[in-house]
Amino acid sequence: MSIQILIEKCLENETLFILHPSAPEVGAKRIIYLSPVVMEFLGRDDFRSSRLLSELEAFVMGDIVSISMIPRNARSEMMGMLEPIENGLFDYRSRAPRPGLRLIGGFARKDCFIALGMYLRRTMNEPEWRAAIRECDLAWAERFKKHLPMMTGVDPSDYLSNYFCMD
Amino acid sequence: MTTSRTISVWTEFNESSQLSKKELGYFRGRLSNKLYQTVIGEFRKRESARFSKAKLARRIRKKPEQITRLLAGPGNWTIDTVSDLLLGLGFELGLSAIPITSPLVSEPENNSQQENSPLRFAGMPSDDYDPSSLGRRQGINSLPSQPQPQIQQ
Repeated sequence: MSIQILIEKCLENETLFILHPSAPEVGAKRIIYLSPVVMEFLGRDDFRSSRLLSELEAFVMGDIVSISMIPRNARSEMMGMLEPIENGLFDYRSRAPRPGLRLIGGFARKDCFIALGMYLRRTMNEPEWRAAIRECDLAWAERFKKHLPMMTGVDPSDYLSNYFCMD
Repeated sequence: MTTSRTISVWTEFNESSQLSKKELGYFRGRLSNKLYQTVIGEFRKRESARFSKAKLARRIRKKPEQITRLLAGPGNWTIDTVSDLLLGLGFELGLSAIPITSPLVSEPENNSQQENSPLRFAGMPSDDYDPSSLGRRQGINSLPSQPQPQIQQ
């Protein structure tokens, strides 16, 4: 069973949602799937959630995404590869307004990101951050069984089109 | 058959209504992203012509590590940051105000195989939609800065 079929099943049972941009521009270039927790957050009426929504819509529209492929190297980048790199997990980093948010997930294929967890980075110490990564690793395995997140190395062009990397 | 949700924050202009936090935050984010896309787009063009971060740093009187941090994301940019970065690249910002149009979105109840296509949108343009307006919707263009007049000593 391909990962795409498993994604379809997740959409059916609402353990994943696909983000459709509401902006009237035409021409989505990427796909982002979100866990129910993230989707519920995006529906809130507050500054933080709406800022994240606009950023994720820009991601879907194919805007330039800054990315670091060196774990712990990302500072202002929008995405960063996480340790251990063999797990193929990344965080999407929404830094403003504070508190900064981190969506942890992986790529099913190029330009197709699946975000499974959302965390307030500021409130987490190192053990908690590691636990969050582990939690998302398990959430991925629960949904996609033997299909691991895409992990082809540290060339950002394998994961994203239209990226900006300063590693 | 699966259920799909669309989160719409686009509204018709209504002078008597109070804008929600969601609307305000969403459009702040859009503007921030447009500014970032403009600056990074120009930097990438310059970079391909061997214009480095170090040169940009020197031009706008910042440290290279500051430039690295600024170019990585628009998180803490100010209007001054945008001005400095663009000027360092040889541009200034061109601006225009664009009327906000309705989202043209209908809430889809069911999706199909098409829904997973990256080309599918929850909303389709209405009959009076003008494709030629797409360029204007971007709203922000960077304009090459004018050469400064030379002052003869």
